[in-house]
Amino acid sequence: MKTKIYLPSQFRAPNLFRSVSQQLLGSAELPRRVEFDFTRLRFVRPSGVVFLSNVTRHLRHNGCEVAYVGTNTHMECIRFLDDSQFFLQHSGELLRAHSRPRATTVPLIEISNEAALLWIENKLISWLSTSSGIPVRDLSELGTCIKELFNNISDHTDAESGSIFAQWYPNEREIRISLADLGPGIPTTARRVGSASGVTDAKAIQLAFEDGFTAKSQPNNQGVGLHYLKQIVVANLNGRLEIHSGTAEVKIQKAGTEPKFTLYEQRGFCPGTLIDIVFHTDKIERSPQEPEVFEW
Amino acid sequence: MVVVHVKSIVDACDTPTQGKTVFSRILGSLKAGEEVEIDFLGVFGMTSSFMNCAFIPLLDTLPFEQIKRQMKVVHANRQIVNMLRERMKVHAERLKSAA
Repeated sequence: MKTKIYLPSQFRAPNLFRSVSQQLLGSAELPRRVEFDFTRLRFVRPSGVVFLSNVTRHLRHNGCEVAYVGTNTHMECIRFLDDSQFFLQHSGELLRAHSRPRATTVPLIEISNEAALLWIENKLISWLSTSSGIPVRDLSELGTCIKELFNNISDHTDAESGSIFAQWYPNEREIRISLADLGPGIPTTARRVGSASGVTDAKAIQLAFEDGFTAKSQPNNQGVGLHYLKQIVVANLNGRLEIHSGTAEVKIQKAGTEPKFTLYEQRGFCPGTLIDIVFHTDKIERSPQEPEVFEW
Repeated sequence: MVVVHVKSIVDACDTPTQGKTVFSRILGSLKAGEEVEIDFLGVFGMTSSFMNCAFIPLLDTLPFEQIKRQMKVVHANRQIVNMLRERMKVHAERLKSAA
């Protein structure tokens, strides 16, 4: 059985979550071959790139052949995807020999959890510092948040890697970072906790962001990582988080002074977990060059 | 006073294993009543996984007030300072209310 999927014009995780995933992954049996048609594509966001990358890996992992069609290199969005190394990652070659990563992106990479920790400091944060002019020391909170997510993949899943893509929008001074894994998903892990058993996927994701909520996959887990991400990105930086996992879509954004959760149930399907981080870099607090004076 | 240069014993403050290394290095001195200065020079940041293995377990052995008296921290950036101070405080309060 062969299935052809027309990708939506707006290539963002929520659109793919609702349309593509539901068509493909909602059914009991996966087709033997899937063709993703890029003809209608007009606009690309990092979350769309990482989402389709994750779905592709999921399909191939389950024995499904995946092909990309309608990849017209005269279209700017296709050239952007090629420069982002999407086709290199998933088809083994660039569409255009002279495609190169753009200065405003950290191209799509699938990276082992172990290697990611060093990569975040040496590549991601270094790139963002150069792009935005913000000193590395003031990007420590953001870098630690991304490390927390890779540590979560290590601690709570069997997945040995995650996929990540980042883009800097200089005019808006906005950064978007999308990261995904093919683990069991946050809802499945969260429901291992007695108080969360039986809750919906979206509610389970909300619980996972509470300080101290932990599935204790490892003895040292204290339930801090996702809470810390929320505090830094939403509470401190006025940014937003979008999480897709299982059948849930969850958005976290500040309302007044507190982070507010918006839960959507049964909107689509996401294998594993995808987290999209968006904020304006102008919100990052600058610190003096001298180290902080530590007082308890 | 014992001075622990974090970068000389671990490459980074990212993983539980790195945290356990630092914990092993400081626990004995603190238990012996010595002052311990932890020098974070050159450390980019500290994850909760590291924190949970390096510092949180100190609270299982020593009173928080004693840790605060004996443990000094230098050359730490804002992220490290906030993570260390806030997580230790939260965990000490949890232990107190559970007792």
